[in-house]
Amino acid sequence: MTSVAVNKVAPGPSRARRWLSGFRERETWVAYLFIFPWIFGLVVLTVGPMLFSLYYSFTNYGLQQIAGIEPTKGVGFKNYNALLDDPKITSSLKNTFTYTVMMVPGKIVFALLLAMLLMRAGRAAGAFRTIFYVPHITPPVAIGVMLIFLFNGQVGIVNRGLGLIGIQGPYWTTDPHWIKVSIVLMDIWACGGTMVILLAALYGVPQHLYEAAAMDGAPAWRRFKDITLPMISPALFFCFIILTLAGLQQFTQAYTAFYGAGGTQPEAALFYSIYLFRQAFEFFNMGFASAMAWLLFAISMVVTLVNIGVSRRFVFYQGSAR
Amino acid sequence: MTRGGQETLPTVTAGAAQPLPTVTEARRRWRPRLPSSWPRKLVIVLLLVGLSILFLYPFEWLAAAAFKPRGETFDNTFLPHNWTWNFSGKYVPSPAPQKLFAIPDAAVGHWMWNSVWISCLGAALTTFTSAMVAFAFAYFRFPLRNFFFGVLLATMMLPGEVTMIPVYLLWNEVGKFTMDHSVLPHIGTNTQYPLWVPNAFGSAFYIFLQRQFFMGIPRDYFEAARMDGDSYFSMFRRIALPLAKPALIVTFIFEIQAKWFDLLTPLIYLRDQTLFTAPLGMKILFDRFNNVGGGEGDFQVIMAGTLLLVLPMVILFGAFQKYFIRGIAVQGRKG
Amino acid sequence: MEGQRKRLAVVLALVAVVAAAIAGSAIARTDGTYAGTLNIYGYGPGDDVQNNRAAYAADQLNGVDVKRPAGDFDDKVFLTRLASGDVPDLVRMTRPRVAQYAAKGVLQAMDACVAPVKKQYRVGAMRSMTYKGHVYGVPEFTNQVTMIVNQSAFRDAGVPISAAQTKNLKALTATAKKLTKMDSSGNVTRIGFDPKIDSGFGFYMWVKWFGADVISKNGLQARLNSPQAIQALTYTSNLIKAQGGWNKFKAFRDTWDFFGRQNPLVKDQVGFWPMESFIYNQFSNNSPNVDLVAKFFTNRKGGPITMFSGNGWVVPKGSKNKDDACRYMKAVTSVQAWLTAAKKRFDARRASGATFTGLYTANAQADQRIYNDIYQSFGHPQFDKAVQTLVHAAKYGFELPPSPGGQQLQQSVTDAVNRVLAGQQSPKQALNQAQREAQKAINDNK
Repeated sequence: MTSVAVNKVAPGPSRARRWLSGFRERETWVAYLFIFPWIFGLVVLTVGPMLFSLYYSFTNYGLQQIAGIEPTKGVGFKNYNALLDDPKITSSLKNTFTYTVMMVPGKIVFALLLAMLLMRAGRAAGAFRTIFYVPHITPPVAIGVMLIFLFNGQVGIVNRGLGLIGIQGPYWTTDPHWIKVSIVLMDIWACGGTMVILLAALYGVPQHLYEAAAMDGAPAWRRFKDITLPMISPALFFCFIILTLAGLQQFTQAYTAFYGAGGTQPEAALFYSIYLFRQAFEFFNMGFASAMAWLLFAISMVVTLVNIGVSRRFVFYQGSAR
Repeated sequence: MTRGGQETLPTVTAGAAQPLPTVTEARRRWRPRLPSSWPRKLVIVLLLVGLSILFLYPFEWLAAAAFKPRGETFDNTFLPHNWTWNFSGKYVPSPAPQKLFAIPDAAVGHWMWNSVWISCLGAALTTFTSAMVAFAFAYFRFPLRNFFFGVLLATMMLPGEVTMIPVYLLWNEVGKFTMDHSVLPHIGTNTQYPLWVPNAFGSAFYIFLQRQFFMGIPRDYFEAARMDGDSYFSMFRRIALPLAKPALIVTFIFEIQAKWFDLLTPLIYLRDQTLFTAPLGMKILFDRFNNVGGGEGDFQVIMAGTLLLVLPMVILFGAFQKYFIRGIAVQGRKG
Repeated sequence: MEGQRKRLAVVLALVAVVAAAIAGSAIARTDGTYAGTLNIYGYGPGDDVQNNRAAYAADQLNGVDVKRPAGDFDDKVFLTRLASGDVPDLVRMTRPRVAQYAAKGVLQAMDACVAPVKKQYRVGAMRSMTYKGHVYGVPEFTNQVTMIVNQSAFRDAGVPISAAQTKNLKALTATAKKLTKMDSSGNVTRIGFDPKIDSGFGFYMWVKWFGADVISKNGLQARLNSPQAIQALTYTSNLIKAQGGWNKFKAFRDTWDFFGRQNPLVKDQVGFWPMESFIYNQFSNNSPNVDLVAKFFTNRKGGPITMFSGNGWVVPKGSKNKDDACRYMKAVTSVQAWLTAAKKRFDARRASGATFTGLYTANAQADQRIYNDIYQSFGHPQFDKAVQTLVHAAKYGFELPPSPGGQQLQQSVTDAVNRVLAGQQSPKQALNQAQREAQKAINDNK
């Protein structure tokens, strides 16, 4: 089939010229027309402010500058140096990383299991789908209650349940080692959004593939590994990227549980975003907060690129240009 | 079905294009079925029920708290000991317990209506524009495509706190401009425009999500339409949109919920009480009745309001979730 | 076809919604700021006292259009308004914030405005409105801290009420231990004495007990790791350890329904503890028959200590109506305003059979007049006695001096206390770290 002879074709136009000629294609202009609304919003509402915050990170932008009392002065890399000196930065980054590493796989696995369970629920599936989704839209005030109901060291259900099988449960809300785990578990519990996306993906897997595999005698785990996973891999990839970014920016769960009124504000729950919020809106160090934001941006960029690189091997798209 | 006994399971690498499925085959969908053996059935039922209790507890707590009288809101009993209607009634001034819709200077019903139309409008706008943009990223080949996709992802990586003030200043400038040119409607801070106009430009999250779904549609569907002389836009409308219905519905529901519960944007942009949305209204009521500030601690009103906030979202989801299933056509290979 | 009609319906719906949007926002167009208008921020419609005082003040400022948008003070919102130049004319914010904003030059000095009425206000509260010798406004409320004693717990444990004292620390620890109850599995079922070291006032009051202050009078020198501070933190953390340890202590405390009918006094969940004054209102409403006693929190010599917290009125730079702002803030915190509101509240309470536990303001004259002229017994002697204690405790109030790094100082204290309670550091290590952080913040912001 393949010839061994070397292709003897005259060298075509250079890569740059070929790339530029892409702009003459009608398809290109239509494509740009399609994405124009997003580009417009991007330039006006997103990139502009982002660049501003990048600029602020190199200045002394603070309360006086915001109020117009003092001019904004450039301070070079002072804020970024301060990042390196501040021990809270390292500790909050560590907290955030640990949390993300626990939360992302946990949430995806749990959501997938729930979705698959729902597919076997028969006619009542609709009701259960809604029930499993409710945590995702339960407001923070009720989630705080959940924390006490589940994770209170003395009367929480989890510890009582563990006690039944003879395990002395930890003090989830005060023990520094377990605080993050309790936040992760609360987050996994609210996986309704991820579950919905994976459900939609699961329903898109053509049935005849399963039937063909069953006829060929493939066992359930093999069907899962070679049909389900590849076919839902685009959705899995999406969830992985999004959840990782969400994990790095985690704020609401931890803030409501530990930093609200009467919260103990343990350092184990000081996530990077919470510290950023504090620097920006309690200490008014806007320049420093902007530097923190851009550090997180750089980290997120690196992590996402790694994710994309790793996923190239595993994500399978049925159609369209890659 | 096998063809010539040589059918193999699809592997990770993309294979050759297959002919389109016929109409009857397209109608066949994978339906969830109960497993046949009863021990497995029992396990599944137990799991479902057990998980349901776990998932519903906070919601049930909220619903019960909304019907408890002042002073018992946080007693954590499963059902109210004294069922109280906290939503409406005759207004009795403090120190009597308040009713949600009978609080002076608090147009709760109006706030809810604001939440409804802002969420729906914003969600509809974002669903449509995100679909357009996502389709372009999925289907078209054009220069700088990967670059822009990278930019798309990058916009999700910067925490919103540090862009809050620049964006506010931007809207403030727009507001000043429209004030000077009174032929234009007043758009700017202290209006509701900043709450939904950004949705008209799509949103990175949904563009990414829908792109994934669009990329799952085989190109042959589109090639066939193109060969029939379809314009790109009608191809998008007639083929891509229906096939990606689950993604569109998910986008719509997610964005409605995100806007519905959003507190920060209304907090900083709205000053006039008639423009408030429901979550902001609840916060205002909380400030007012908070006992630390000297109020009477009418938390039952806050719980009632929060329940009214959450209930529509649950109902909305319950109504729409079946469309994930109904709207799906078979994608991909013929067996 | 059906599809067409459906699409038409969707389009019409969209159009209707957009029309509603434009109509709705047209209302918000007029935003006139001209002399004769007073834009207040942080003082919207509130409880009856707030509304009545606002009505009185608006009356005094006849002819001025007073605008009071809803919502309490929020830093994010205030920042955006500062940034856009749309500064409110008069702001009500919490007192710890005043120094921070004043230090950055965001607020105007109001010495001339406040001088004529300065004597009416409590010295401790007024001090926290003063920075670098200039007064920036007037204080509004004070919440003072007193000790609440659960008599039934004492009776149950066979301990005399006189043991509810903070003068002698050894005796205090013994009393606390006697009142602590645990069940068979080792869980705490009643806390003896909660030193509230993890609250907003606890650490500062305990350091005062040991005779020191956490910050110099001019607010520029943090003193978080003085020997007295270390002693304070050591004593209180040991006290918690002796009552079951922080984990059990906190887990138990989290289950309390503090503000409701099943409050910790009714359910006998705590023996005695220092608490801010607003709680009496809740207790008297929800459980008027509960057997409580109010006592002073005292230092080692028996002298009462109480810490104030509260809010105050300030005028930002860039306020367009400084004069009316001055008149309003004095009017709304005047003796007459407080009396009017207190009388109305008293009448309303009496009419509905609820209790009235007095108002605790930063206007010393107003407090005295309210107690003398308006307050009457409701038939619950324990609350009458509590009110008496509260009124007297206010004389001994102190607040943290305003400091440019005030917020960060409080944050480093909270963090240090947490580290000690969680067993991660010794009090000395924790406070040394807190001292470093706080002093650095003060120096950076000077």
